[in-house]
Amino acid sequence: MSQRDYLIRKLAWGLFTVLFVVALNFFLFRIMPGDPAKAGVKDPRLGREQQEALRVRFGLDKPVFLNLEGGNPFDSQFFIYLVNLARGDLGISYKENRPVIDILLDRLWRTVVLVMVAQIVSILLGVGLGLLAAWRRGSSFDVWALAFSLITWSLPTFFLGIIMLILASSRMSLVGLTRTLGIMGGLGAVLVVLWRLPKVLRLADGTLAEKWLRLINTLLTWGGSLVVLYLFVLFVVRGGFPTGGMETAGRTYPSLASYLLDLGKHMVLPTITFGLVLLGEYMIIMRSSVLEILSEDYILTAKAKGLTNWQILRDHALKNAMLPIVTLIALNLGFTVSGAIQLETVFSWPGLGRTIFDALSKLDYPVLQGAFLLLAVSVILANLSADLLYSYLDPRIRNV
Amino acid sequence: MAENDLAVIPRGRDFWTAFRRNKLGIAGAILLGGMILMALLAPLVAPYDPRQTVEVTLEDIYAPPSPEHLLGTDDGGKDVLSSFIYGARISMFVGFTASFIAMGIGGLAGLVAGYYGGRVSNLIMRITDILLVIPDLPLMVVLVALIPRKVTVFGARLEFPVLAIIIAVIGLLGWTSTARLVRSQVLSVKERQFVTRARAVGASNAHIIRHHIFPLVFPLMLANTVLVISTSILSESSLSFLGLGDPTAVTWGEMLHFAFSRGAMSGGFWWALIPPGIGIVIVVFGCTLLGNVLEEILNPRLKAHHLSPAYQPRKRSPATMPGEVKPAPASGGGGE
Repeated sequence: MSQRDYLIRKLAWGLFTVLFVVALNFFLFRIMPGDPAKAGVKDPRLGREQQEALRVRFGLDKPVFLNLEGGNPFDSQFFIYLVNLARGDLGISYKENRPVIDILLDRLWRTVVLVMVAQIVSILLGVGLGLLAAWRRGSSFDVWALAFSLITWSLPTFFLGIIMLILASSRMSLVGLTRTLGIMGGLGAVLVVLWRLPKVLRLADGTLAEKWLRLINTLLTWGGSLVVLYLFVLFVVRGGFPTGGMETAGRTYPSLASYLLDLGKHMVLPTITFGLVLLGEYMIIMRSSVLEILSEDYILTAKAKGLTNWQILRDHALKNAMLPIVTLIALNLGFTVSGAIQLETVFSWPGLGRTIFDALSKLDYPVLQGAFLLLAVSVILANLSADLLYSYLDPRIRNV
Repeated sequence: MAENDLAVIPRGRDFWTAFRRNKLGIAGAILLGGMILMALLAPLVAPYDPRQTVEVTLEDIYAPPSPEHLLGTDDGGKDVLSSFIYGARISMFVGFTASFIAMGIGGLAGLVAGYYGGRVSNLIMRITDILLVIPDLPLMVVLVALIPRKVTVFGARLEFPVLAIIIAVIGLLGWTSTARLVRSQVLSVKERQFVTRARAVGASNAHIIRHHIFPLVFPLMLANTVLVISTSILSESSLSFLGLGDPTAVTWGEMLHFAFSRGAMSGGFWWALIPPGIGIVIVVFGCTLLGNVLEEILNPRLKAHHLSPAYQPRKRSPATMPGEVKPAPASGGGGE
């Protein structure tokens, strides 16, 4: 099958998925018994005629799927929904009485900003650290990297956010912080030494001096990570970063620079949180894909040819190792969106995720419906483009 | 396909030997087992019963850790340690049940898709594709929020507890990884010689599936289910944290929800926030470790993969005759 056929097939499937989600979105909110769509007009304070008028205004008096009462069979809620969608009209919010599309567009870019920055940071760090971990496979750094990834994967995103908030809002002084972390670090160091010492000393090869060197190497790696942890906690606790929202309430910005600075300060905590969660995943995937590539024959050939390690990495390994990362970025988009909901709730970030959350509690169904549709469709489209990008990068799958 | 590549799934003693060699797996099993034990023995271990009503004064709310309350009290004056121990019960129950549902659906779908192939397989795989692409938490949020609690069916009024809805939603959305795994396993097993022989002798499809294919596929399904348990627990805690859970149920997600929305953050009452999260982390961490190790041991193909930390060149291979030199693995453990 040629590349063109592959592309067409992928595009067709993507289109079908989008249409499916569009229809799903509609039926989800209408067919459910209890009819959420009608809930907005059931305000008991309204009189009968006013309720009727509201129903007519929101088009809720029309039949849901097909209009069989003579006249135009397509004059039903479903087809009106489709037509409106094509025109970009997502309805009117029950609670804010504004067009839904305005509300959503206002919130969308805020989520995008937050998520993009976190993704970029964690991709760069993840690729670098994953590469390092693969290069030094089996070393303390590798073990640390694996442990770190596993732990961040097991942490719910919102819990990590809560931890960050606790750290950032604690008023610990420098001395108190150093003391607490010093005790914890000391305990951890003792545990690590006890754990690694027997293995390090039991290794039969090497003189005593070499064994000591290995032990010191282990200590330095773990000690180094402790130092990094200390600096990190110091940064979060003493940095004075705002714990919520996107802008300082009530403040006006004389210049773009001051706005960006304020925005940046607000973005630090949520970005760190999200970045940590994503970092673990990227690091592990990069590590395993680099390991897989390094055991291929052509790497051995390159080494036999006399290329330096750096040349091998740069010209052969990196390009191939990046492919799963591209797939992962695409796969992660759905996960990113889920994480964004939790993140924005914890940090009160006025983005799309929190819009969903607020609409849920206020029972604002048009907004909920529109936001869900927007999220799902953007994830599908992003996945589709990642698929196409991947087929461009990896010639092997074009001929599937 | 060589007969020799039917790397037998370790059973019985072989399995335990392989399992014991992997320290990470043991660590995961200990963590998970410890939590399960704690949940089962909750009435014996917990100092108080969190479902008992308590009379509280202002000092009892968000009280810091003290000898009476080792982890302090929460927003209602209830002991956090007891809630933590009892919370393990429902949190893990929801996780396990939802993932069993997912295992059931996914296993069935994978078996059917793999065995019958063709259009059916195509259809099932398309469905999994769609489910994979739709972002899971927003969909779960919408479903859990919109599915009605009370339904009148044929004149009978049914009421669904929130937990049941959450379990059903997580299970219905979480079967895709199992289905894919089972399908690829069935595909590889289906072409083996013993299946062809069975068919030649006249065995029916059902017989072949039940007696030949399923026993080889099931261990891997189980390993995958352990991993699904971890994602189910994460999903349940996220849903509860966002307020969609059952407020009367004591789960770790609910504890976090109440603590967060009732001022534990601003007051700096970390003891109401940290323990439930740690509980989630321990269980998910244990499940992940255990699940990964199980997948390595029970997957005949993955066993030879040089990336697996459990990779050990087998000392005695049925393929090597005595006297033959076993080919040495290449650098890093060697590819296949």
